[in-house]
Amino acid sequence: MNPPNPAPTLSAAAHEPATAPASLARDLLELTKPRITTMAVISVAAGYTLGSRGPVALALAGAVLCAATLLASGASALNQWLESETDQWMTRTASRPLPQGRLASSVALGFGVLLVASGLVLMTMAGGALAASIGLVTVALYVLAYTPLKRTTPLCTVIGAVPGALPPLMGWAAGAGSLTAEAWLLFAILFLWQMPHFLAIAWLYRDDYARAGQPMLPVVDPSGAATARQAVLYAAALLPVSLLPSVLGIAREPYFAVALVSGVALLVASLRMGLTRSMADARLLLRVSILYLPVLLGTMVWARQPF
Amino acid sequence: MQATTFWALSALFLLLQIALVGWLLRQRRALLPGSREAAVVQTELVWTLVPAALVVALALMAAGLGRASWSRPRLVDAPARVEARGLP
Repeated sequence: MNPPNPAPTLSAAAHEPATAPASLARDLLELTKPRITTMAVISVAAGYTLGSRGPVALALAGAVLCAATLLASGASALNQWLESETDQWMTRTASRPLPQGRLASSVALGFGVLLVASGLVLMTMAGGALAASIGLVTVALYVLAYTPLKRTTPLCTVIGAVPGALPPLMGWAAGAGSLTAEAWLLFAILFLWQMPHFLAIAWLYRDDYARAGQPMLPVVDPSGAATARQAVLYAAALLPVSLLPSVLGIAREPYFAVALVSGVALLVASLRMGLTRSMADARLLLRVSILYLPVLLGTMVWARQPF
Repeated sequence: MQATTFWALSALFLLLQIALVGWLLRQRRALLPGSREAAVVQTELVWTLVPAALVVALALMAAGLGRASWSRPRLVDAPARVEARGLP
């Protein structure tokens, strides 16, 4: 698929490198995808707290979260560096620093490598070798597998959901020093959650993805039927899986009620989008999915059973 | 009640899963091999089988099967009644 036309928002002022320190700082910050990084760090924090035995040591937890922030930011910067060409074809991403030419490609690459390297060093020191290894695998899968596969197959989403679900595992490994079945349960919750969340985004921006030559599911199946079925299926799978922490005694009873109600809300929002396939319902599903994760993980941490 | 809800919802999901896989397989047989539609169905089959594998693996772990190691004693494993016996 060849991109036919650049995104309409591509400004005429493109390719003028930024000079002011404030705008450079803003561009570097934008390179780190702050919202995605925040979500990843929240899930690392949940994994760390749930995996820790006894009270959480705040200084150590802070260092682990700093390391996770560096790793997630670095991975995002490298992702934007790799996608600088395709980003200019998408309305959603055309205003990013690289497609706009506000940042040199080499600066983005260097910044990303520096963040990842410092994140790995700090994670090794604060969270141990296992957590750092998971961090490295996460970055490698995201940058070297998911990002290039976006141009070739709709299955990239399933593959990309693996690095997307690894952050709580990294947090757990940092807190506990090993990986037990509970950590994999967190992985499964994050993995399944990403599908309705991402399919809502992919449906909303399907024209963008098509223009950029990225064959996401809503692009190869323009009717949206497959997108709808998969969003519902993954939300239906997430519902029982999200109850397991309570069933297995990892989280106390209030978690069960919160997981059940929020899981049903996500399933209903997925069903609505599936039935109407309207932009409004896709936006609703996106909002519900964004709320779902912090609510679920926050409740799980709050209601956790002590070791 | 919690365990019952979990197993009931898992069973519902698996029924949905089986119905979808069956439907997709029938679709695939009806389509021209190598066509764009057949490729989409093939892709969707993979998408569909992934959560099934996850749910089954977790259900086996929850049922205490497999080699999963839990970091703390599970509530489901806890004895319902503990007998205290004095020294003879």
